[in-house]
Amino acid sequence: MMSGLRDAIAVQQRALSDLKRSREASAAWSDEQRHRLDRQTLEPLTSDGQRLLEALRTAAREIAAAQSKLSR
Amino acid sequence: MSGDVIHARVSAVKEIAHGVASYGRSLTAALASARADLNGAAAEFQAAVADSQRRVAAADRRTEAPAAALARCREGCEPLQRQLAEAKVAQDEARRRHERNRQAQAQFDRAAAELISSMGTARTAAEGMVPSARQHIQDYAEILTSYLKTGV
Repeated sequence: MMSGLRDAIAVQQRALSDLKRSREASAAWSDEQRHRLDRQTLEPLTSDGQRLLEALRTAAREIAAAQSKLSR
Repeated sequence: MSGDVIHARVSAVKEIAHGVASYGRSLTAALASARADLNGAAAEFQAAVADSQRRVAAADRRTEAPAAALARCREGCEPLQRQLAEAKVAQDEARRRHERNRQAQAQFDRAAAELISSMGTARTAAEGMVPSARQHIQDYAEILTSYLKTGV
């Protein structure tokens, strides 16, 4: 796997873990303001981030497969 | 709201603010790293395809001389036939390699295009949501600060 994509996957994994930890640590804040924040930003941000992580993994696999076919 | 509740929420606001800011920075770093890698890989595939194309052209040229000589040959032509046969084997191999490289490049191009699209979507979404989350957090922090100062 290419080092940049491997780094990107690691960074994105950490970023999502940090975001998840922050959300869990902030569970005490559970009023309407928080629900709105979750609904409008944190949940979509997390979902998009997870989709990006999957896209990075898929691309890394596909590109590694393509590189293995190269004849130099 | 009691003092404990307000302090818990202040702590929560700080946690979320930290998480969102950290996420925004990390996402930017991840996208930059991925983009640099894609650019490097694209150059690698282009170089491999260009090189195999040059090898095909060279192999084509190496068949021309024995083919022309064989066309003129009237007797004792076996060495030329062998030379041409060997050149054609090398030519076929060069063409197979070039075709494999082209297919590999096409596979890379598809994977890269899909990833670039996903990266664009993630970037656009984050550009909208991170500032929006910050604004929510700031608004809430101001409400809490007001509670702490005035109790209202």
